[in-house]
Amino acid sequence: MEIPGAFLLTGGALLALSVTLLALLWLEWRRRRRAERSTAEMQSQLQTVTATMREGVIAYDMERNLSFINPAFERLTGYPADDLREQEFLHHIHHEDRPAILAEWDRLGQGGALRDQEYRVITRAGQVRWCSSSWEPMRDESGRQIGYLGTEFDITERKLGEEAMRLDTELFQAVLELQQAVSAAGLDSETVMRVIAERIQTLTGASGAVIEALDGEDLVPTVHVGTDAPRLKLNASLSGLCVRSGELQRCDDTLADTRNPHEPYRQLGIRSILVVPLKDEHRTLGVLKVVSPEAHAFTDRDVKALRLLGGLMGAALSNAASFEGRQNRLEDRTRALQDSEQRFKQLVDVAQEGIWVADDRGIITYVNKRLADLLGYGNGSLLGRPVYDFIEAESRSGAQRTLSRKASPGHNQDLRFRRRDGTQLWGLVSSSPILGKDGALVGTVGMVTDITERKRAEDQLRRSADRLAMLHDMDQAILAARSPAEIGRAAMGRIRRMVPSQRCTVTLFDFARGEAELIAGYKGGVQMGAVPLPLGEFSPAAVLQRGSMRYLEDLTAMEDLPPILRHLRAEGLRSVLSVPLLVDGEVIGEINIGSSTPSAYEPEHRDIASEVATPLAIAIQHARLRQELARQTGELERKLGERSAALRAATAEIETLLYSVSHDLRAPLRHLIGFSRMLLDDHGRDLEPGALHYAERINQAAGSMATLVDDLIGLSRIGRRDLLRRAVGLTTLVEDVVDRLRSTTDGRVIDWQIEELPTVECDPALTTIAITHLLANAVKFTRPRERATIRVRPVEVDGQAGLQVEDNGVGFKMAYVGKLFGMFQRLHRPDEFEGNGAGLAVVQRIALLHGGRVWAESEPDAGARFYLTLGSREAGKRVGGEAGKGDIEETQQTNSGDDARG
Amino acid sequence: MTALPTRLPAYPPTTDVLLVEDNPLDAELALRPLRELSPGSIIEVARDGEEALDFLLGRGGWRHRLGAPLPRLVLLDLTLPRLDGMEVLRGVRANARTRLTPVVVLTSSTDPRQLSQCYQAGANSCIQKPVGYDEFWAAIQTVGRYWLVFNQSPPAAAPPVT
Repeated sequence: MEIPGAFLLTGGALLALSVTLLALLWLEWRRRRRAERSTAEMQSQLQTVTATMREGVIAYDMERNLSFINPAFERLTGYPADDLREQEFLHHIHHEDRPAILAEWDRLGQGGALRDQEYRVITRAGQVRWCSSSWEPMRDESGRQIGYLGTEFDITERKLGEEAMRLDTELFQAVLELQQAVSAAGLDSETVMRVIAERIQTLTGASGAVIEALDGEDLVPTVHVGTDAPRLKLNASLSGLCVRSGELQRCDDTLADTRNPHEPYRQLGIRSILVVPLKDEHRTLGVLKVVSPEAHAFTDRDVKALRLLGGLMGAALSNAASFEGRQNRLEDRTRALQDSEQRFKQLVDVAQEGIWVADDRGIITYVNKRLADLLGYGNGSLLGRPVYDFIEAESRSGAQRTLSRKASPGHNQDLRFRRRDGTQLWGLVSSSPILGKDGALVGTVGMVTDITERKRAEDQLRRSADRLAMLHDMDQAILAARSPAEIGRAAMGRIRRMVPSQRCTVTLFDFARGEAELIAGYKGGVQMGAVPLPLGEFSPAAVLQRGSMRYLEDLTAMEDLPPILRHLRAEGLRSVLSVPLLVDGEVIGEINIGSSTPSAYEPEHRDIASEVATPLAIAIQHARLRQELARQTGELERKLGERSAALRAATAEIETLLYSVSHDLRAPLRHLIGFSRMLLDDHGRDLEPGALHYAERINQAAGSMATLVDDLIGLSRIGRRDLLRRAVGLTTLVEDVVDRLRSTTDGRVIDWQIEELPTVECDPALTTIAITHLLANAVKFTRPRERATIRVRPVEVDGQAGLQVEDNGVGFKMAYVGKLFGMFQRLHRPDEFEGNGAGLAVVQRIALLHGGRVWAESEPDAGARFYLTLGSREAGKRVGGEAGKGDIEETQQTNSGDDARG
Repeated sequence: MTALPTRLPAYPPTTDVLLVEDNPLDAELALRPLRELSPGSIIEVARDGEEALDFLLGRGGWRHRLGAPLPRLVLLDLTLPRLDGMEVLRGVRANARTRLTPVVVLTSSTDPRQLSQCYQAGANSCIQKPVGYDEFWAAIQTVGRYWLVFNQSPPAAAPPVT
């Protein structure tokens, strides 16, 4: 599009320039004319000058005859000069514009000038061209006007540009109007389309405009103005092609178009069609079409207009559609919301919970049916009243805190409500604040669940739990073996919590002695100490011993009370519950509970009291029995201790005696042996056989006594010190003993078979002694055998380790086995075998000290088996032996490394 | 019982053995093996502790022994009336003159404490008196043989300055 402003300016400038130039030329011409005084010269000069000008120059005389034309003018009009001369005045000018020029011509005739007259010229070829002309009167030297000179400037392009611009402006205007209309139409698609269709029709000068919407395979006319609009097929129409290609389609003559049959349009007499697709962001919605019965009716300008409006419409429609969509959705949602509200209301109404809604002051604005029922009011009477009105006084502060709280919704609370009839309702209230847009509290919604029953059940449960706990306490007390007083205190503590009482006591009766003792109790919350009371203060013994519960509802209403009850009455107690403590049907005491309220004790309290009484009685009885037992046990232990001490002392004495006697016997024995020997040695020859015989007997006897005394000393030594326990390898020990016995076995054939023996924890010295005795015996009693076999084997019996000594000696009868280990008991005559029977006694003593045993098996002439065990294998244990005090010499022995025990 | 050569001291006849024993029977029993061992030995018997010390230290009834050579062996029974064997032993060891004299203690007891005391008091040896006759005989003779024949007696101490 040309810029008309610049164009104008340039045109104007050029024009002005050319006019000026002309004027100058004319002046020059006038000068020359003066000089030459020739019209022809003038004309030819004029011709020369104007021959090369682009502008058309024309001159008329006063008679309106053409007097001069330049070639440019000829070109401009398309007529040769001659034709123009023959033409009518202003014939070349468009008939519509002539009047205007003519009107101005008069001025020219009066010597005025015309400037920038614009008019159309019809060229010989029939073309319309725009000209801008300026006219000047022509004068001779005298100044007499002789004609008019005009220059014509072809401004067709400029005009067309202006026209185009005007059209664009029109279009732009139309678009604006359209948008306004669209806005005014309120985005109603139908109206928008209609508006667009009308506008485009106007803009393009079409006979009709149609908007077709794509519907599957068809294009359906949604809006049409000025023409019928048939339904078209997507693949059989220009519209269809437009949609498919997404491009503007143009048909300048339906009759001549080979692309499409254009059947319906032909029938409608439509010759020109312009169609443009309507798109939104994603797809083609339809088409905008203009039609005309004239062929080639639509210009590029129309195309432009159509494109513009088509695009605009596409966007508008899209918006409209989505708006409509939104609108629909909004409607749907609103409907849904309304439905939901309705349902909610229904739900709320039939909910199990009571629901209220209150404003920020706590005034009820809504209650559901349930809440109304719960509180015993009709629906209406609750509205407008504060919630607190229905909440019991003690719950109110808690409620207020909750209901004015903005934070933490969903806070649960137990509140007590008052019904219309005055009864109470326990409600579990869950309330949430309702907050406004700015976060301010605008109200609350509360949900109330009836928990009256639950509360009752909870109370019940708690009471039951308490009762159980109390019984458990009683049992614990029994197990803990406390004194009766402690048990009583525990029971009273529990009772106080569960049964109303200003005073509760446990009293034990001793009917035999006519005494009673209050062992525990509480008076006004303070513990009472144990107090002995005479039985006479109580109800008569007969009553007490009946063993039944007694409930006195009001002391003040009774006469003839026993002293104790009189005291209680004086203290202000009114009702008393007495529960006997029974053990095996015998009354051992009672619990007394007193209250300052008359008839204070419900059946439940009585149940609780008797529930306590049973285990309490048992517990007290147990405690007493235990005490008795402890006492007796103590007594026994004391006696036992005394006896043990006495026993130990006696044993010690005996041992000491034994030792000292044995010791003291040694010297005279030595003498006896010595002198009898000397007698025999020195004077045996001189003695008569009888005397000799006696001397020999004396000597023999002395020798026996020596052996005896040695054994006694050995025996007495055994218990005198503590038993050492050390790991002793028995094999080695036995071998040592065998070695030591060799001197007694000289000349004999003895087959020693010593097996691997265990290592035992024992006293090495004592064990050596024991084994020595056993082996010495084996050696002795196998003497008659040509080949003696003595075998030593390990044994383990009852967890005790030890050994067995088996010989092939003379053996003994098992009938005498009991005597075997007796002190000084012998199973053989002195002429059979020497010995005094102390050896095995010693072995037994040693075995017993170790916690072991010694026993034997034998058959006459079939050898014997002796078993010795030395206690269980426990490491590092020192067993205090029955240590005697030792002989006088050894009493000073305190630091020898052994503890002085015993 | 072979008689071994006895060495006679270079001095004038001197007591070889002092037997301190209160019991005459024990004394008699002890003398026989000693005499059999060394028939030429001079054996003196003290009947109690005081007498023993008087003899050794040259005082009391034995004043005239003051300065006399000491016995080559003292056989000391512990159980003595009045002044007992331990006291005698201590007394002997306390005196400069008799300090080195060999003393063999004869006892019936096997009490380790008593044994320890004896040695601490300065006994050269402790023998338990066996009950059996043969054993007793052997014990006495062994002791005698050892101390009188094998042992080198300590040189006689300088006579005390009186």
